[in-house]
Amino acid sequence: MILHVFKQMWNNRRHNGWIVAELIVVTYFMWGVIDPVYMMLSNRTIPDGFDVSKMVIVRLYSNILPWNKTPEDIEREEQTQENVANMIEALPEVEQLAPNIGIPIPLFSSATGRLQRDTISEPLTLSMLNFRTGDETFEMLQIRDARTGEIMRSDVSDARSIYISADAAKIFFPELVDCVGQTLLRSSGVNTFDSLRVAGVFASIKMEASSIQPIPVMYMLNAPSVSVGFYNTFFIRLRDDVSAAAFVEKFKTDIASQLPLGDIYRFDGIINLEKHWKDREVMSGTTNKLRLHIGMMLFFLLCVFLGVAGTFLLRAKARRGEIGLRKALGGSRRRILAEFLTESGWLVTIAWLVGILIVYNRVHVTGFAEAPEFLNDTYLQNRMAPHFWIVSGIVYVLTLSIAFVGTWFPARQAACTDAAEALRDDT
Amino acid sequence: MKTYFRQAWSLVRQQRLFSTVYVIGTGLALTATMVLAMVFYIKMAPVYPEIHRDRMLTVQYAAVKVEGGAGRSSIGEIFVREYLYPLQTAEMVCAATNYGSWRVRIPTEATDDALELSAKRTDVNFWRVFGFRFLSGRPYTEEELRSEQKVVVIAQSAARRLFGDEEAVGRDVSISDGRTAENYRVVGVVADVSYVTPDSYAQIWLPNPKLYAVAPGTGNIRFNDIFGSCKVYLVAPSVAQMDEVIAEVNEVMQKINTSPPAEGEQRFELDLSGDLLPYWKSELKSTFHESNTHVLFSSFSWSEILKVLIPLLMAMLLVPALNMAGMVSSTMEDRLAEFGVRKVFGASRRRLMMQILAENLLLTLIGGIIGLLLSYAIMYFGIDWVLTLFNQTGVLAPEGAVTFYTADMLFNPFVFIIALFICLVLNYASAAIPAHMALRKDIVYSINKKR
Repeated sequence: MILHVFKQMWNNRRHNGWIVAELIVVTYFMWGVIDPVYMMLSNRTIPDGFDVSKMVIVRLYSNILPWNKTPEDIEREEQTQENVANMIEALPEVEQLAPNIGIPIPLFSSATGRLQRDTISEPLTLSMLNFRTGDETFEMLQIRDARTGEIMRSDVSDARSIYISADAAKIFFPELVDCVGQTLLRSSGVNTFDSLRVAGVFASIKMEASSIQPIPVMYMLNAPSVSVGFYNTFFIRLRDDVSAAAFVEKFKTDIASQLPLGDIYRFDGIINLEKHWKDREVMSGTTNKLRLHIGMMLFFLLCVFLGVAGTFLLRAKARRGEIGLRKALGGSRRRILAEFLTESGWLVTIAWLVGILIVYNRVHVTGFAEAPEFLNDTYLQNRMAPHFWIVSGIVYVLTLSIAFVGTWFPARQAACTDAAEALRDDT
Repeated sequence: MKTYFRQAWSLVRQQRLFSTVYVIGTGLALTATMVLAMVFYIKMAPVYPEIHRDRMLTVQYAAVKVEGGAGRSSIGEIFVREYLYPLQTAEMVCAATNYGSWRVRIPTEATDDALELSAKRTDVNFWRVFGFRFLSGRPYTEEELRSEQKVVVIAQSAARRLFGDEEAVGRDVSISDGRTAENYRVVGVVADVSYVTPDSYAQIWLPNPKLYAVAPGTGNIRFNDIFGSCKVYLVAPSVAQMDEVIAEVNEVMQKINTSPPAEGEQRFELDLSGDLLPYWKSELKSTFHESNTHVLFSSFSWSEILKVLIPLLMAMLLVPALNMAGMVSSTMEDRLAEFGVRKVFGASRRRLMMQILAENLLLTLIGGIIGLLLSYAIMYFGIDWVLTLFNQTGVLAPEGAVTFYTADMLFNPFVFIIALFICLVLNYASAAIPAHMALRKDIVYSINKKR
């Protein structure tokens, strides 16, 4: 049968040329469309590295400019914060509260720091977050130790200790399994460096959105001063049975006006962190890209369906006489159907092979879509060969499936042709 | 031509299946390209109330470099009133700031009954730059701005929700930004503005008293005065004069950068050029440029835009064109004998080609109408996401944002001309080559082919 199919394909090469050309173009564009979708959806399967479900932030805005604060102001501030913390902690919905003035959570930090392993190696820019000793930052955010899987503890008090993420540890110390206790350098001037001790390594965390891979991060110890800026924040983890959205509404309408802020602070808002993290997906452009690429993919598949269906409808019509003759001589419906489907399958396969060869050359020059800033080859999607073949495979399966669907109806119509009728029409 | 269309119609009826597949294929291509065209028309063309977009420049960010660092932020009110309002080449200059959602209620009603409405603070020129339709009352005046009177303009739907059928102008509303609540007097009610025009969109508009004009600056502006929260809109007298406005703004920057710094300040270099662009260019840039936090300003780059736009257009047009070309090629085979006979009777190749193109045009036009209707359906039902579909970075609409289209956004000559143009392109692309290849055959081959 295969030889017969190839002969048929060769006989109809002019018409097949159009459909193959279309399938090559579709393969090329489908690859470009599925590649970022694969990347973004694969990235979503990487753990975020933290957990902000049931977490809200209450922000207070200081009425006193930081550079105008007197020691008495600082004392009053501390007392106000304690009063506010006590009131919030007493709320029935609140499970845990952590007052903090730094920027410990991935969703809000844009600070960076540069570290290097020694004086001659290239420095690496890491995203920088802050914590204070004993303020349960890691516990609040459920950030885990990369070695043990347990929740990290921020119990160091030495300002020269830092925590780094697992991917940062891999970049700085690729040969070490455990780099706790190792030293990293941070530039403090021309040819001068501060020596920082790695106090712990936490599991990689995402800083941008769930669809964007983790990047190297470090946690620095904040100075123990209370008043360093305009804002004071309270991190609240709610009970599991409490809705964060409902709590935020209730806080805004009923509780905010009752906070004992005096003349020191004013209420600046409450943020639902889970919603904020989801909104980051939209802000990062991932949602747009997924919609656009999936829409384009459906568009191409529909075009393939129409093209294949149209071509094989006309072909079935043109070959009515031949099919009638074969059925009159004992040819089975199954065989005729199989012949059409095989021809369709081979057209898709030939086009796919040509298409991915063109794609390979392009990808070799431009790289994959949505390439991460730091290539961590722990993730399959960052490895060239598996990534290329997985996406090519998805393109092949989708195109072949839709081509079979498009061929099925005309093939079945041809296979069900009445032999006598077909032969009569043909003469 | 009439004969061709009559013949084409009878061919459509004879080959229903082929015609259906062809029409759907054309419709698909047209839907995709028309959605793209309409999205960019709404984003860039003059539509209510942003009626001056064709001669409007915008600038939102100023970059400042000092020794040891650089930064950028939105434009400050002091900079606007001292350096941008006095521009001679601009016909109108206005500044506006979005303030998110504020709580608005009738002062005598309970706090719980407050509405969350999108708020914007503007100057007086805002009402000249953007062509709002006042249903009652008027915009706030410069005198009200200078005397810091608490006045507000509200949207029609907000007025209805607050006051029902009663007149809103002259009534008081309590407006809270989440920190403090104050009473404002309603001076005007405007027809609702859709979030699809985000520069003018709000539900309440309040004056920004920091923006009333004073004497032109002397060049000793302070570092902190440059930054604020405004986006500035400059309208040139004509499209041709937009470059003159840009040149004058560059002169202002040059003057600031060469003047001695203010007392107690270090020298800095101000740069607006990366963000001062014609409206349509800034929209293209914000849609297609990847966000890059490592640079202060990314320059407008046609290559960044075309590297996304061209593959998109090619995919939308080329794939269906190849699709339909294959089917047309198959039908040409069946009609070879017909063409052969007509050639015998003196029909030229050109005449036969015109016939084929005309026949195809009928199918393309039918597919085009279906595609256009489908694109309207997508625009209507996808209003919440379709306008940001091509953006490289996301846009979060404020909670409760009101989105709708006005008639001029969807039903305008531009849309129909683009639709017709695409139909003609598709028609030619899908029929010309197969027809040319079929008509190349000699008469004897064509006539004997049927045998």
